[in-house]
Amino acid sequence: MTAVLLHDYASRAAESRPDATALAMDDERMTYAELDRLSGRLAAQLVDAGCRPGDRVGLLVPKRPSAIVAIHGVLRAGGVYVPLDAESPPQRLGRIVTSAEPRLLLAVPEAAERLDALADTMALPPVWSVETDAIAGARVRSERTRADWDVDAPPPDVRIAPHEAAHLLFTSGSTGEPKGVVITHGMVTAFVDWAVGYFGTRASDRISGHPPLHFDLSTFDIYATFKAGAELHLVPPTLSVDPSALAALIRDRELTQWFSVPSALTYMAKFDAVGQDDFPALERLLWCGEVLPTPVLAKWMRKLPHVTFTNLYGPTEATIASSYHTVPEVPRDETEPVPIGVPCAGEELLVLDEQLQPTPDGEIGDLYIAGVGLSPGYWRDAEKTRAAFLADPRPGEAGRIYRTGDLARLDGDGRFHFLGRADSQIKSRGYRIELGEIESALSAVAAVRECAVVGVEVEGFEGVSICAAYVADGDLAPPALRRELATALPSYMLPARWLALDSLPKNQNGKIDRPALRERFTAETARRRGARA
Amino acid sequence: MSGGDLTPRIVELIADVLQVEVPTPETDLIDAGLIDSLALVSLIGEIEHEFAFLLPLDDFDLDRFRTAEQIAAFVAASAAADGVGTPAA
Repeated sequence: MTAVLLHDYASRAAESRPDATALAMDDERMTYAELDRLSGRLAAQLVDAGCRPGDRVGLLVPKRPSAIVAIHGVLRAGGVYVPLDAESPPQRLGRIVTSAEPRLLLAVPEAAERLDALADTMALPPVWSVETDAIAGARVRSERTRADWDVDAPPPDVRIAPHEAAHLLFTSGSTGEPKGVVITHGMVTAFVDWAVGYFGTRASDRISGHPPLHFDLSTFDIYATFKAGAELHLVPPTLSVDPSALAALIRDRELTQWFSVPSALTYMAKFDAVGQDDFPALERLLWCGEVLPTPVLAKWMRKLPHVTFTNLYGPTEATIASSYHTVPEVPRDETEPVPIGVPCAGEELLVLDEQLQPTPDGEIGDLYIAGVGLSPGYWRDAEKTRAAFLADPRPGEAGRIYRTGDLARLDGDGRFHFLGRADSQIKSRGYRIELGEIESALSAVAAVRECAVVGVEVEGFEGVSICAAYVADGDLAPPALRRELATALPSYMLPARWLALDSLPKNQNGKIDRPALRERFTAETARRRGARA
Repeated sequence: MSGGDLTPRIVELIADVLQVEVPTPETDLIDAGLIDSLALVSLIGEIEHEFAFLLPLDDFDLDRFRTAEQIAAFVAASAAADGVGTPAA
């Protein structure tokens, strides 16, 4: 039997259940037969246009059924898809596209303006429209549209090996340069195999697709749903700011599984969008990406006693998630964080000290991951790969371990607990953000003489708040600086709190005193609250 | 006193709390990408501090919270319903 590749799930479902719904969003539905036919035709045209195994294809397609067609078209051509965040400023997008070096970009007509702006920063490869309408920008025009590629042709007979790349996902990099994580077919199928077995996913499931496609959590939704031959209900991005609409979608679509970053759950809870015993069809609620505050979890669990709640943990470099913890009952102590649990099948979590020796049980150390989920490394960056992926130090182990940068401890029951970060990376709305990337974007603003960005823990909804202090030449008020920064960074990276100072606090070594800055922001917030109360 | 009277204070609060300049009181702040879910929650928290009462969120309708003008009207109506009277402008 040949090894399974990611797009085989949908093809197999198309054989066994051609008329079953694969995808639903708003009023649109797409069956497995249609998904299979369209993606096969797109793949044939991609190969015809010179796309070869290993070639990258960029996707500037918002989350919708045609994006899933595009993903499968690229995979069936043996290609590597690179989902691009259309909300990201052209400057940042340009760096990602330059690094990925795609043979082709698949896009939608609405992306014309973004493509034009991108074309100002770099030479673009050919652009195709995944929709019927052409892309007609001032500078960028689509070479082909759906009318050209949706023509009868046998799907290409391309088979690659499971250890080869399926997609590249770019995350925030500490030096200001986004870094690409190489994700292979085998990494994802290993997780999907475990997840479909553990959660008992079946063809009658209706599963949410909440994370954006440039987020690795989306690959769990897509491929686990298709492996089970179930329905994937894509959550329109516009709903993310509307708590009652999100809840209505879970209710009206009779979703059986909801999976999102914690902030979406916190948001719905904050607005009391969930009723007692709401969502009768819902069986499982999963979250990943950052810590879900225990009081919020307890609130959800009391509202939905018929639902199973599972915390998933893991960085993109180790594929979707590497450990899980199903919460057995409503937490009695709401000050106790939820454990990140035990490893998924084929994965290992290790808590090590600075000499890469195991810490005694119960003691804090650096968290490393080993096993089937590990990425081959960062795209075209051997140095960063060597720094993060190390040879397994244990005697007799020939594999590698990945340094997560997280701190953890192992409890007496064999469960792991997350205890924060060892570096300056923070999580906000599930996004990994390197504060260094924000600092380098701020430093690039001409009038900024000196700056520092710190994460400050805040009570309640936000978790960690991004705070920026700066010294400017002349008059530069925070709103103007924020507007300037928005041309370089996506909105989720923009600082929430600002301080314009005459000089930054320094420690004895002349370095920026970050703890002192954090205290200032904390005091500033308390002062303002106090003044208003 | 109508909600319109609170609009300048809401505009000021948005600038102060979120460092976002409100183009006009009628601008849809969500469609314009100036406010996302996190900013919305921060803003609600600050409004509650500023006006010293809790906004009724259990029946929250986003379409009444898209512009500075709408937010001002919502705050005025909620304050009246809450019995704290209309906040002084």
